[in-house]
This record gives sequence, structure tokens and C-alpha cells, in this order.
Amino acid sequence: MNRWTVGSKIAAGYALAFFMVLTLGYFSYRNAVELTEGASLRAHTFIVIAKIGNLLSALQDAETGQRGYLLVGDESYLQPYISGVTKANQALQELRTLTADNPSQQRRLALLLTLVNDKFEELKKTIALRENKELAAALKIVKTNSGKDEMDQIRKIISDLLNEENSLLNARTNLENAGASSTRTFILYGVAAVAFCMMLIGFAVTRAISDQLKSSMSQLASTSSQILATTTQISTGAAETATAVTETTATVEEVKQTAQLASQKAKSVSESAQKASQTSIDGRKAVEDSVGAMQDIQKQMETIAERVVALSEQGLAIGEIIVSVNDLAEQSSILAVNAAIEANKAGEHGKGFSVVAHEIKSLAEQSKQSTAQVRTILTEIQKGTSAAVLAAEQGTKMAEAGMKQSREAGASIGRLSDSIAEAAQASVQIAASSQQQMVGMDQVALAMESIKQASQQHASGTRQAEEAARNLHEISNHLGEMIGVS
Amino acid sequence: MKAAKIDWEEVKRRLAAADAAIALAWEPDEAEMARRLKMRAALVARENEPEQAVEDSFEVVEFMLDKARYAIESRHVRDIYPLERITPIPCTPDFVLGIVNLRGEILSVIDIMKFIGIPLREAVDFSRFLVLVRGDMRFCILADAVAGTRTIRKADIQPDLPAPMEADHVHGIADGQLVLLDADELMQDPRLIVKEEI
Repeated sequence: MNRWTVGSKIAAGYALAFFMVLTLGYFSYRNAVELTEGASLRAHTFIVIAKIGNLLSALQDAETGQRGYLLVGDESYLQPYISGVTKANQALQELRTLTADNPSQQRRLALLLTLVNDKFEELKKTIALRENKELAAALKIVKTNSGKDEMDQIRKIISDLLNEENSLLNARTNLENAGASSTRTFILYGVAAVAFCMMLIGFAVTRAISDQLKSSMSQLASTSSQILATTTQISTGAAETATAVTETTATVEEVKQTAQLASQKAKSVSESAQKASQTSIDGRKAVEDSVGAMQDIQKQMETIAERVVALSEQGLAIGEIIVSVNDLAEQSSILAVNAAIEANKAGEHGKGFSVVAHEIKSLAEQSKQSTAQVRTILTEIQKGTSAAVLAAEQGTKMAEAGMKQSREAGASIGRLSDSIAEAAQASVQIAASSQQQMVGMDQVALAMESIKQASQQHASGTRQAEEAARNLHEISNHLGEMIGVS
Repeated sequence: MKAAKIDWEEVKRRLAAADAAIALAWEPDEAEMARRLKMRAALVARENEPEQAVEDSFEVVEFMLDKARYAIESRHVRDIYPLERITPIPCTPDFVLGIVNLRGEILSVIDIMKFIGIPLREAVDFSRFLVLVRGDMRFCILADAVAGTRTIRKADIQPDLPAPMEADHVHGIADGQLVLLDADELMQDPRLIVKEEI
């Protein structure tokens, strides 16, 4: 039941009530129709009884007319007979039609028709005899009393017919009375039952709906208070959001200025990088020149080494000369000593020669000392030249190393130049990017302005929503009071 | 590198000075010539100053041997030769170093240090032959260097010898360090006549 919607419950209650009323109405209608049918049957029975009366009267008229004619013989007395026969036949015909649904009446009517036809034959015969002036014969026929018997039989059948119809009428009246009584009873109890049922249904439906509504209302009340709380929070949040958005807008403005600064810096960096690129190209050329100069230095060093070696070789010649001179000095010395010895042997005469020999010896000694000095100097010169050759060799090597280093420096400068070129390109790209960034920041600022407006609208909207939630809460409280939720 | 930086002007100046000095050495100017002549004159003058009496002195030939100075009377010295190749002679005493050919004359070579018994102090550097003569006796002794002839007064000779110098055939010591060898004794030493039979 609880799964049913309120509408279906109400609809079901109404459908049940409608069904009951329909049933009640149907049965009432049927009873009314039965009553009406019973009334019409009674009317039919009355018509049949009247027709039977008419037949009897018509038969009596026809007999009366015959008797009158028989007595008087006047044609005018035949008039009731003729109309009576016609009326009787007509009444018979109508009765057969009216009692077509009743076989016992039909049987009686068939018998009655035969009897009536016999009577009418007798009457016709007697009338025909009277016409032919044979009154006696006619009277004789009358005196046989056959006519009277027949008439008695007819009366008896008609009486039976009437009895039958009366009994039918009684039965129908009883039936009608019973139907009316049951209809009354049915209406009385039916209405009472329907009223009770509808009361029950109404109570149940109201109970079900109000239970559901009560629980729904309590949920609605709690939900609406939650909504109210939430919207209050949202409202607060929206206010905070609006503040934050304002701050963000200010920040975006600052960032924009920073981006502008970055753009300018990137531009200046790009220019610097281009200058540096030019400078590195100059540096490369300078390094190439320095390599050339180093090569010249190396050649010069080699020349110096060759010259120094040549000098050293000349020093060798000097050494040889010194050796010769030394030899000569030695020999001179020996000769001087020998001369002195000889002079000594000569005694007094050799005295002067001894002095000369001594002098020569002294000169030879000086020559030897001088050659020793020259030798020392030459040794020094040799040392110096060796040092110079060594220095020149080292100079050559250093020049070579310098060349290598210069080449490396050139390569480094080349790489540096490439790097600087890349840096220049990169800085150009950075400049372009920062320009784009600035444009983007403008858009962001614009967007932030929109967001600001939107957040303000949002804040007012949430205030309205809060108001609406408050109203909703009040309404739910009111509704709860109406329904009776404590 | 900065410390080794050369002042090329200074170098050129020094080079020019050296050139000038060399030129001056080869072709001395008047003042230099006068200075040299004066110096020589002074030397010559000094040599001439001591004039001794013949009786009181005698001529010696002074020579160096193992850093010590020795002298021998010049009348026993015939002449002096530079060192020649010595041919060793087998079956001779250890002081006989061998023989040498001096201008076609074959002479025996004596190691005077070993002969007179002076112990060797340091390595010798023989470079001279002294040819000694006394009558028929002729032989060579070896010397590191020959200083020359000089006159020694007899009064200057001290006969006492210091301990390491104690040896045969030593006349005495002059001037403190000059060892005067007695050539007469040396030449008469019978050990010099080598007559070895194997």
C-alpha cells in the first residue's frame, strides 16, 4: 500500500466507491425495470380481461340479434348479430395475439374458437331458415337447446379464461409487491452499506495519505532546515569567494605588470645575446689569429734554437782552439823549464837566459790560466746555450700547447657562440612568449572581472536562495503544523 | 710568465756592451795597453829583486806530486817531457812502471813515491817526465806538474822531517812544504839496477 502514490490511493478509493454506487444503481435500475414490466403485464392482463368481456358481450349481442330476427323477422334486428359476429371474431383474434406467450390460454382459445364457430353456424343456420320462412324448423333447432349448451360451454371457457387471467394478475401483483419491497430493502441497506464502505475507504485513504504526508513533512522540515543551513553556508562561501576573487583580480593585475617587466627583460636579454653572439664571432677570429701568432712564435723559437745551436757549435770550435792554445802553452812551459835547466847548466853565462826562460815560463802559465778562464767561460756559454736551446724547445712546446689550447678555446668559443645563438633565439622566443603571456594575462584579467561580477551575482543569488530556503522552511513548518506534525 | 718578462732594450744594450768589450779586448785602446805594459813591467821587476850569492844557494827544479811540492837539484835534471805512453815491463820491481820512448831514446820510468816510500795520499795525475842524469845513469821519474826552476839558499833547508814525510833520499824541507830530494843518493841507490832473473 505504501508503494502506491497518493493519487492512486485516492483514485482507488474513488473507483471502489464508484463501483459500489454503480452496483447499487444497476440493481435499483433493474428492480425499477422489473416493476415497470410487472405494471405493463398487469395492464396487459387487464386488456385481456376487457377483451374477454368484449367477446362475451359480442357473443351475447349476436345471440340477441338472432333471437330478435327469429321473433320479428325484420332485417333490422340482424344488425346486432352482424356487428356481434364481427366484434367476436375480432376479439378472438386479438386475444390470440395477446396471449401468444401463454399456451394454456391458447388451447382454451382454440377450444373457444371452435365453440364460437359452432355457435355462429347454428345462428347462421337458424337465420337462414328464418329467411326462407321456415320459422318452425328454426324454432325446432332452437328448441334442441344445443345453442344454449354451446353458449354455456362458451361461458364456462370464458370464465376459465377470466380465472386464469385473474390468477395471473394476482400472481403478478404479488410478484410486483415483493419486487418493490425488495427494492426498498436493497436501496435502504445498499445505501447504508455503501455509505459505511465509503467511510471506511475515506478513513483508510486519509489515514494512509496523512501518515505518508506526516513522514514526508518531517523529512521535508529537516531537509528544508538542512537546505537553509547549506544555503547559509553557501551564502557565506559566496561572500568569501567574492572577496577572494577581488584579491585574485588584484593579484592578476600585479602578475600582468610582472609579465610586462619579464617581456622587457626578455627583449633586453635577446639584444644582449645577439651582441654576445657577435662578440663570440669576433673572439673566434681572435683565437684563429692567436693560433697563427702561436705558429709564428713556434717558428721563431725553432729559428732561435737553430741559431743557438750554431753558436754552440762555434763555441766547440773555440774550445778546440783553446785546447790547441793550452797545448802550446804547456809545451812553451816545458820548453821554458828545459831552457832554464840548460841555462843553469851554462852557469854564470846562462844567467840572463835563465831569466828569459823564467819569463817565458811565466807567460806560458798566464796563457794556461787565460785558457782555463776561457774554458770556464765557454762552459758557462755552453750551459747558457743549452739552457737557451732547452728554453726554445720548451717555448716551442708551449707555443704548440698554446696553439692547442687556442684551438680548444676556439672550439669552446664556437660552441659558446652556438649556445649564445640558441640563447638568443630562445630569448626571442621568450620575448614572444612573454608578449603572448601578457595578452593572456589581459584576457585573464578580463575573465577575472567577469568572474567577479558573476561571483557578486552568485552572492546575491545565494542570498535570494537563502531567503527562499528560509521561506521554504517556514512553509514546511506551517505545513507540518497543518498536518499535525509535532 | 710576467716574472720572466724580458726587457728587450736592456738585452740589446747588454749585447752592444759585450760587442764593444770584445772589440776592445782584441784592439785595446791606449790606456788599456799602458795598463797592461805597466803590469808586466811590475811583474818583471819583482822577479829580479832577490840576488843571492852562488855559494850559498843552488838551483832546483820544483814539481808537484800528489798535492805535495818536491824539488830536485837542476844539475841532475837533463830535460822535461810531456807524458808519453809507458810500456810496462814484466819481472821488474813495483816502482818500475815500464819504459818510454823519448825522441828515440829508451828510458826506464820510476815511480819516485813508491821508490822513496812516501805513502800515496790521493790519486796522482802524472803529466810530466823528468829525465834525471848522473854519469851513465839515466832514467825518468813522473810528476803531476812541473812548477819551474828556483834558487834555494842552503840556510833555508831544514833537515828535520815531519812524520808522514819520513823517507829515504830526502835532503830536507825548504819553505816549510817543499821536500828537497837528494839526487846524488837517489841516483846511487843500488835498487835502481834491476837484474832480475826468472
